[in-house]
Amino acid sequence: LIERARRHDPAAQRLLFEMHKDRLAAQLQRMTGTPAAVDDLVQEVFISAFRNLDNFRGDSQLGTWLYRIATNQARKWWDSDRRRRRRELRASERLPDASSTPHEDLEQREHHERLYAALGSLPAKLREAFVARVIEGMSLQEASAALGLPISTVSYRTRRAEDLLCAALEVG
Amino acid sequence: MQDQDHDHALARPELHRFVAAARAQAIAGTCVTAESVQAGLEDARRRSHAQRMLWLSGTVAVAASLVVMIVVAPLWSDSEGPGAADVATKQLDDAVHMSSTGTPEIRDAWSVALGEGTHEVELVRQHGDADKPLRIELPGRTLELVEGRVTIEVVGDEAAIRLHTGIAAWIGSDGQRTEIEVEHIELETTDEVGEQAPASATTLAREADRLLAADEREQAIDTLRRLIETYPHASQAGTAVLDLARLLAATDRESEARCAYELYLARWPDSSVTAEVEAQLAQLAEADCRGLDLK
Repeated sequence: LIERARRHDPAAQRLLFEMHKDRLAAQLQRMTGTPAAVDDLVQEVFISAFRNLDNFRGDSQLGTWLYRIATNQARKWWDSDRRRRRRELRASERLPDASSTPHEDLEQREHHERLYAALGSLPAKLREAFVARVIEGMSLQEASAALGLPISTVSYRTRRAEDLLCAALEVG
Repeated sequence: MQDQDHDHALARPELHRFVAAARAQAIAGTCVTAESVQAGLEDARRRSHAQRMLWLSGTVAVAASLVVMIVVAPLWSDSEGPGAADVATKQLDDAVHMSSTGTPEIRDAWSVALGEGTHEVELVRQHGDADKPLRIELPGRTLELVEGRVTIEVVGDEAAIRLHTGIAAWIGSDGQRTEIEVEHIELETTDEVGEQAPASATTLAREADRLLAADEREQAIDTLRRLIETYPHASQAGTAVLDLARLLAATDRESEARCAYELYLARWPDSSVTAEVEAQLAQLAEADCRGLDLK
């Protein structure tokens, strides 16, 4: 299938897209915390992937390779003007009606907002390790393969990210 | 992955409620269709083609100008020696050694702009060279390399550098220089009497990291082996064995990868990643451990 997609076979590309789009969309949402950003990023990741399929050497899973592309696209998103627009998007999103929303939901939403705001202040490399390992729930081996980093580096960056997040969130 | 596994990855319990909220977010999915991706792909290809044509026309124009200069310049003055373009190219080629995953843009004899990719730049001073620094333009920053070797990684608008040897400085917009410290001790450095200095475990671990980042797998494997064999009790040894196993598995050397994973389980039987290592072992093709003779 990958070989056919490399040769620009539209049917093969369509199939690969359908096989991976949902997982990738979920990963991108967990990377950014912003559902409104997901469509653009999914589009960019697949365009980049199909243009660079020749560079996929097959020594990792295609999903792992796509995750690495998604990480790069998410990094650009965090670094670009869209980070500013993100706040506007958040503000324009309809907030749940407080009278009908259980207290726990509001609290959870607030925690979510605060965490992603704090993640935005972290250096990209630390944020990516934290998201892969803690939010995405990858094992050290999986995160190491997905980010293309040694296990020791993933472990160190995750711990460092946690320390900085505790400071930013004023907990601990 | 189960929640308890997530929690295992979280060393700071104070963050638990925040992480739980992130994991609990409702996933909205995507409205993007295969057709819109393919349309975007076509657009990207068209843009890329147009850029290539533009680049090609520019290159042809530059080449034509060079030919004109080479042919016409000697007619202007026989005593001026080679043309300016020749000098610029020659100086850069002689003094600067560069390997790059991107496409460096050579601006003049001592100035180069680097875009996305990993770049190894070495400035070797020749006898009689003027101490003119190499100016390296990075996204949003300018680096000046006086001599030595530097690794530069450019991702988007970010540039990370590691100065291995020599002298380099950031140049501020006001022309102010901020010297950069050497971060890395060369493996091949020699002491004053010319004997090879043994690399420390930290140095070897950093070297392995650098090689992995540069995707120089065979050299990374050698370096990790040296680290494991020379410093079997160092704090870096455990992760080095795991990195070695992962690299060997990724390069289809599964029998050797098996040795590395088995070595890890034997040396660190109570490790917190034992289950992960066993899972990796189970994924390897059925084969005996062979080919990796670690001391």
